[in-house]
Amino acid sequence: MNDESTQLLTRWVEQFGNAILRTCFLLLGDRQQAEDAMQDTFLKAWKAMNRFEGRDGCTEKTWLMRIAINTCRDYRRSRWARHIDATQALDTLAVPAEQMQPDERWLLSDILRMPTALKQVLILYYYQQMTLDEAAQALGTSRSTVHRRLKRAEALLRDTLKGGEGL
Amino acid sequence: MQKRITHAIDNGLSCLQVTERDLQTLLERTKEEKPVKKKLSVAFVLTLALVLLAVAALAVGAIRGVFHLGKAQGRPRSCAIADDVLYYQVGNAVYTWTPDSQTARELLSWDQEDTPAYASFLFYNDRPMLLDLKNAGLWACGDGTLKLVRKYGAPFAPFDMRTDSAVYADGAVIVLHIPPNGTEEDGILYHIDLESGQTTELPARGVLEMTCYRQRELLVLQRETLPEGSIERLAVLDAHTGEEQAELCTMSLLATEGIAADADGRIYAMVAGNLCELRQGEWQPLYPCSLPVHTGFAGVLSTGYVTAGQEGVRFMPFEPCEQGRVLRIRGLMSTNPELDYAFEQAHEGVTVSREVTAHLCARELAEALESREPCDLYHLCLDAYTLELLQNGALAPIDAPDLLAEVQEITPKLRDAFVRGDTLVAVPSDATVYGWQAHETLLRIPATFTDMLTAPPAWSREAYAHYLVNQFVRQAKPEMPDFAAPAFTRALEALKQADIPIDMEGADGLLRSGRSFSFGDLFDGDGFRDIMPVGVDDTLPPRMQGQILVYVISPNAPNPDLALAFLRTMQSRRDPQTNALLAPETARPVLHAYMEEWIQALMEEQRTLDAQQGVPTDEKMLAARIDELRNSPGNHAITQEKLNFYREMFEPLVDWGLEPMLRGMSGPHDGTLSAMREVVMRYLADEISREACSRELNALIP
Repeated sequence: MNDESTQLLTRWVEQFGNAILRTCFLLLGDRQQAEDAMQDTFLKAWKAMNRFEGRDGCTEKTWLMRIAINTCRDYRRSRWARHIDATQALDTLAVPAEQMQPDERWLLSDILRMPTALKQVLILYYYQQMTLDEAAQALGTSRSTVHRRLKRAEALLRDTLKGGEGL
Repeated sequence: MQKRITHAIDNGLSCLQVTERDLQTLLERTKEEKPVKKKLSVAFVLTLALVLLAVAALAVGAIRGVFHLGKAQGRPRSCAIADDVLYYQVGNAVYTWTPDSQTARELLSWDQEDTPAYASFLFYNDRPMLLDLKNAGLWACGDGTLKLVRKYGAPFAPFDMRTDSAVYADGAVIVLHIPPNGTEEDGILYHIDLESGQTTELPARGVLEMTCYRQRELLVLQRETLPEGSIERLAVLDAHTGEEQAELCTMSLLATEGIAADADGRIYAMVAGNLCELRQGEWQPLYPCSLPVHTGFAGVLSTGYVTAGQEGVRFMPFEPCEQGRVLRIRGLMSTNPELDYAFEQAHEGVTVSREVTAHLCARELAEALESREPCDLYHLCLDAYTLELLQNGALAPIDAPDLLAEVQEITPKLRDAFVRGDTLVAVPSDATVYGWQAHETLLRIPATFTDMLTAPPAWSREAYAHYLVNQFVRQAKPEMPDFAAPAFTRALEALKQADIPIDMEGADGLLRSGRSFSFGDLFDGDGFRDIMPVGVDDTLPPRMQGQILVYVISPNAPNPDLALAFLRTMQSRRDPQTNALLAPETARPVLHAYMEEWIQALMEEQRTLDAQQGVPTDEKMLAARIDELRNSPGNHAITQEKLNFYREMFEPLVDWGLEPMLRGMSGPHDGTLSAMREVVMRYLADEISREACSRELNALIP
C-alpha cells in the first residue's frame, strides 16, 4: 500500500468512521456486526479508491455511505442476521440505559425497529444530513422514492416525537 | 426533528466510536489484500477510448466538424466563457479549453480542507472565482491555489444539489433552484448580490434554462401553461429585477435545449434536432446535431457553440465542412439519454438528429407519413390507434431476424402488437407499468376506490374522476363496462360527496405520471402493497396500466439501413427493467451495471498482477470468485426473487391498453377516456344527473 492511499484511507476513517459505524449499527442492530461492516466498508472503498475519481455528483461521504448500506444489506441477508431482535439492540451497547433520556431511548428504539428501507432514508437524511438527491444517490434509487419513504418514516416516528420538544 | 434524531443517535450510540485500534486493524487488512495498483480502470479505458474517438473525430473534422473533448477528468460541472476560453470545473480542479486545442489544460487544482466541492465558476471583477452556494463563500482562483476571499454572513437560500444552474451577470449571480418537491417547471430564480450577499427571489416562473445576455440581462427558456396546452418561450429578463423585457419567440414543448448567446447578442440553441441561430424571431437551422447528454451548460465561443454535459465537452463550429449521413428521428424523448450519442460513437460520420415532441399520436404519425416527411424513425406510444396503423401496413417492415426473434419472447399479451403476420413492424424501447398513485403521506393502503376517498385528498377532482373511469374500464375487461352497475355508481356518488378540491396545487401530473412499478422498489417483501392499484369494483382484481413506447421505421426513410442499425443499438442498450417487463417469463436476474464493471476490472486486475509476477492465472479460482459475485443477490438490479414476485403478483394484473376502448391515451386527440372523464366532471358539477351520467358514459363505449 502506498502512502497516498494510506493517507486517504486514514482520513476517511477519521472523518467518516464514527458516522459509518453508527449507521451500520442502526441498520444491523448488532455491535459486532456493525464493527465488521464498518471495516468491510472501508476495505471495499480502499480497493475501489481509484474508481471513485470523477463519479458524477457523488461526494466521498455519499459514496462511502452507499458502500456501507450495500455492505449492511449483504449482512442482513445472512441467516444469522435474521435472528437479531432490533428491540434488544440497544442493550448490546456499553452505554447504560440510565445514561440516556427515556425519550431518546424510545426514539432510538423506534428507529431500530423501523423497516430497513425507511430506516435507511431517515438515517441518511436526518443523521447524515444528506439532501434527498444525495440520499437517492447513496441508495441507488430515485429522489421521489426517498421522499416517499422519508414521509413514511417521519409518520412512524411522529407519535414518539409528540411527547418531546423542539420538533 | 433533525436535531432530536441526531442527538438521540449521537448520545445513545456515543460508545460506538472508531478507535485507533480499529484503524490499525483496517490498515493491516489492506496489507493482506492485493494492493491498489496504478492500472487503467475500465472507466479510464472507456474514457481513453472516448478521447481516442474524439481525436479520430477531429481527424475527420473536415467531414463532421463536431469535436468531442471527452471527459478524461470527469464530468464538467460548472462552466464559464471569458476571452474566448472555456473554463470548466471538474471535482477539485478547473480546466481551460480553446477550440484550437485537442486537449484541456488544468488551470488549477486544490486539495485544501473545506474547499467547495459544489460551486459555481464565474468571473467577478475580471477574476476567476468559485462561489460556494451551499456555504455562502467566495473563493478566488489564482496562483494555482484557492483562497477564500469572502464569507457571507448568512446562507444565501436553502440551496441543495438541485441548483440547476447559476450565471454571473453584472455583479450578481442568478441561481435557478428547483425546490425539494418541485419539477423542472417549478424552478425559482434567486438574485445574489456578490457585494452584500443579499439574496432576492425574482418573480419569473417556469424557467427551464437561462444564460447571461448583453448587459444586465438574462435570456431564459420558459415553459408556460396555456388553456390550449403548454408552450415554451424565449424571453429576456432584467437580471436584477427579473422583470420581462421582451419575448423573442415561442416554441413547441421540449423542442429547444441549450440556449446560449454571444457577446454581440446572437442567440443559438439546439432546436428540433438542429443547431440553430435565432434570426428575426425564427430559428434558422445551421446543421443537424444530436442532443448532448444531460446538458449542464451551453455557451458561445467565437468560432462555434459549446456544450458540457454527461458526455463531456462538445464543440460545434458555426461553419462545419461537409456533413456525413444524418439519421432523423421524430417523436417522444428517448428514455435512454445516451442512446443517440452511443449510436454516433459506433457509426463514424453519422449524426442523429432527433426532433423531440411532447406527444406523437397515431394521427400525427399518419399525417407525417402521408406528407412523405423525410424522417427515418418515429418514436411513439403503442395504443389502439398506433396498433391499427401497424396492422394496416402503413409502416416499413423491419427486416431483422434477431429483433423478430426477441419479440417472440415477449409476453403473449403484447407479442402480436409488434408483428404484422410474420413481419416485424415495431420494436419496443420502453415499458412502464403504473400502479398505486396516491400521495406519500397516505399510510394506510385503501382497499377500494371509495375507501381511497376517505383518505386525505392527494389529487384534484378531475384526477380522481380519471382514475375512476380508467380503473373501472380496465377492471371490466374482457367484458365491456356497464357504467350503470352498482359498483360504479356507488363510487361515483362517493366521489361527488367527498371533500376534494377541484384544483390542488401540484396535483397536476400526479395521475398521469403515477407511481411506476420498479423492481428496485420491491423491498423487504411487503413493498408491493404500495404499488398495487386500488380497484373500483372489489369483486374483480384491480388492473395495472402498462405503457409501451416503440420505434417504427418510416416507409419514406432516407436511411433505412441506418434506422435498422439504430434499432439494434437501442435494443442492445435497453434497460433491464423494460426487458423484464416485456418478457417476464424468460427474464433472468440482472447484475447492477456497476457490478459488471467491477467484475471486468477484477479479472483484468488479477491477470495483470499475475503477469507482472510471472505466474499463470488460476482461471478456475478466478471463475469461482466471479461466480460468487454473480450469484450474490445483493449484486443484482433484478433478482430471481423479485422476478418471481412480479410474475405472480403483478404480471396477471397488467393491462397494456391496446383495445379501442382505451385508444388515444398517447395523444391529445380523440381519447375515449378523456371524453368519459368530462362526463363524470359534469356530473360532479351538478350539470347532469347520475343516471344521465351513466347513460352518456355507456353511449361513449365504442
